[in-house]
Amino acid sequence: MPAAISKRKALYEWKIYLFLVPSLLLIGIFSYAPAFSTVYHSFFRWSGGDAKEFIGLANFKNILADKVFWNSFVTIGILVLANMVKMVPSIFMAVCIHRLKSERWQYNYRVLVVLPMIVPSLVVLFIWKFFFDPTQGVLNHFLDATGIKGFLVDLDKLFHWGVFFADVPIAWLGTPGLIIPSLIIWGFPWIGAVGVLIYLAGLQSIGTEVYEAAQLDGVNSLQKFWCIEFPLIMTQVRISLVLLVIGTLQSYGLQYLLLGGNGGPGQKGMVPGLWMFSKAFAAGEFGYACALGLFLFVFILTLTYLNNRYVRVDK
Amino acid sequence: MRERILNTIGIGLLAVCFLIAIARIVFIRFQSKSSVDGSKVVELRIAHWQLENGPRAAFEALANEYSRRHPNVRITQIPIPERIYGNWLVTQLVGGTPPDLIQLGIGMNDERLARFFTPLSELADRPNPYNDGTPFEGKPLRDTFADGMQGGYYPNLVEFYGVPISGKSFRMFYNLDLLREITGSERVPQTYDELIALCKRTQEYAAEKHVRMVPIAGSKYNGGILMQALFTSQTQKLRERLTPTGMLVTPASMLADRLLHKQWSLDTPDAKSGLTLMREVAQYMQPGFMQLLRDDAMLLFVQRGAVMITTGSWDATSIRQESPFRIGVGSIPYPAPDHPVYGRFTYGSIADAEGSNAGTVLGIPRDTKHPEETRDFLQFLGSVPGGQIWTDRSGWIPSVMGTKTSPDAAPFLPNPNGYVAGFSYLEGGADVGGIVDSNMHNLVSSYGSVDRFIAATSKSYERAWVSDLQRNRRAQADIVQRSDTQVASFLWLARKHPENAEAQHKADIALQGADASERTLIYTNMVLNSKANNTAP
Repeated sequence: MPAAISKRKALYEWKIYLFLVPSLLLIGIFSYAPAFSTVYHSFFRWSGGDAKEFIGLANFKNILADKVFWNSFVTIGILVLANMVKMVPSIFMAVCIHRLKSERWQYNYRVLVVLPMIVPSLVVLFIWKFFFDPTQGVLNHFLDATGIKGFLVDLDKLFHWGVFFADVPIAWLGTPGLIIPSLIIWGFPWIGAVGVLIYLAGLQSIGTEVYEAAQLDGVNSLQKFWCIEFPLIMTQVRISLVLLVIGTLQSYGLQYLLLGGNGGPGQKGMVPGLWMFSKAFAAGEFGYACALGLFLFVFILTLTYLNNRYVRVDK
Repeated sequence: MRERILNTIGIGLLAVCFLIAIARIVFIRFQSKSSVDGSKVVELRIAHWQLENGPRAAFEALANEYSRRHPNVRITQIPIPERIYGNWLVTQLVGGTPPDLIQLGIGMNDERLARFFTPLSELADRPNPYNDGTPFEGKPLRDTFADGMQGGYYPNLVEFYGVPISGKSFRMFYNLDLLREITGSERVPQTYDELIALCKRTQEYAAEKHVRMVPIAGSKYNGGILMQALFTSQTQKLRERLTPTGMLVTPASMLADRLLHKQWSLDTPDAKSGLTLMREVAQYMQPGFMQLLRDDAMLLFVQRGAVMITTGSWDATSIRQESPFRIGVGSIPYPAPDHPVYGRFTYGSIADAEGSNAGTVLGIPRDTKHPEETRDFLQFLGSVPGGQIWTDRSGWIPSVMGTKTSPDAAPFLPNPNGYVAGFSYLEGGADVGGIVDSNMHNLVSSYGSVDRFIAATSKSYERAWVSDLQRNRRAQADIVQRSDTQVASFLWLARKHPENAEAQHKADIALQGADASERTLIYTNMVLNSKANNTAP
């Protein structure tokens, strides 16, 4: 913890604080004012504009009875877990790049990993939507060409899933039972550029003496990962985890684009953010949407606190 | 040294780009602020979702012609994709920064209209100056439209809020080359059974030739048009039974009342027959089509992945331009009254001329900075010369009488022969739509069935009608509250200046509007109370 300084010392060069004013002002206007507005409007029946009616805690009471909202947490829970698993390929890729002997090739691979970031995320979403198209999509063509479709149909007959049929193209986004698998498949092979760079930064900060000592002890590649690299990048993993949980809970763009505002058939793809968005912009219930947003904020804050409190980095 | 040179070049490039950007901004601002005669230029912004080929060029031509007549006015289009139009519009309206002229429809309801838009009833009663020299000179604006300007009239508010600048109709588009390949003829189906026979033949053809092809290109949008049309053919008689006065008008509150008092449900034979029809045609679209967009269906059709597609007249220009094959156009083939299965619930084909056929309806928001110029431009758009430019350039059917339809648009002119449509299962509102959407897979998918759909929606469907009705009640209460202030001010003006005929007229219109809103509110209250007390309203 930094040592405390006296007030006189802190204000000695008071003019330099003025340099902070523009930034604070912008943060206040664009980040904190909307947040306070959300808190304020969550106590109103408000459909946008200046007309509103104070209804106390009614919006929050309605949340308690909102089945769609609560069900959406099941979907988001599955997606958070899936996204945690999806961290593995990024860690694996970072370790592979880190272990390359040639610095030039390390650089080349870093560039290759970062390159897809140039493609706008909306374009990526549209490409994936096209992948899932039942008649023209790449995914169904691939499954047909490789014979995997037949295997899936056999599995379906065995387990009675009722989603894969022999003569019917697979409706990835049109069958309730395939919505969550589709959302999980999305982004395959799940190598996120930001994640790789974060882990790589952590790996590069490991001193060469640690590797040399491990080599003297005769550790193999797998042991090197489990006993040295993974524990020493846990700080980065924890940061990724926090960002991932917050990002997954807040995001709804993927679901909106792939499945529409209702979350697809059976609302299987409904996530809290999408429900909040639909309530605000489709139903015009801005006040209720603010209450949902506030609830989501508290939920994310609690998860972040628990993550910071209990996911320990023990080096 | 090399690094220093590169840095200098980099900073230099940045500075040059910055200067070019500044110069460009200054140039555009200067250009938009001054006209040929040096007077201040007014810029009108018009927002719409018509991204199809044709309308944008038509808006451009209309803007150029108007600017030629009024050099101090410039018009800019803001084309917004249909998918996000509603959200975009709500944000603009709530934020108080709407464009000057707005296409009405997506994202709009009575409450938003009353709150954010200018009533145009007064404009509708006045002659359109741009019709001078035409057969409609001196006639009220509303009397110059084929539908009496009904497309811009909102019965619950008893006001005109929009001016329709184009007409519309729904048609089936056929790939004639493919049709000939499959059937050996280019004759398009005339009856429902012929449509189904063509679908079956197409499936056989696809299997024989091992090609990926479906009979009908579907999407939530295109499939929805066909399925809803067929459903409403089966509720014609039901609608008549639900309106004993014979008015054949069933507002959502009335339908809700009849539903809540078990006079109809999705299980009623008429509605069930409609659902059966929907399921039947859905089997000939691609699996999962309800999750596909309009563009996906269009792509499938123009790539010869489907023989036919159902859409509106507004897509005709795009389809013709983008399809590498000949296009045939036909009406939606409804089951006839003598049909052995579906005939008992229908009177016959639904007339295109039923209700309004308004396509593009434009309204003026209250927050426009240039109300006078916008009203004038809207009058130009709704005039015979304006309508002619629109039709010629867009290829769409006109809404203004006296304009000549292009040969390409002729197949889309409303067919007046037929009957009034029944009601749709979607008329409740956002919650009803949500319940139907999320359960539609139970009806249209290969594993679905009519009974499965009814069972899946049986409880939530009725609840959704109630919650939509409750939302409507709140919106109506807001409208009544707002109109009370207007009525009071107009009445005060009319009493203070009894000689002022315009003030009297405005007070009359405001009173009529307030009366209608209160009637709707009272009826909605009665329906909800009767539901709560389990009594008749």
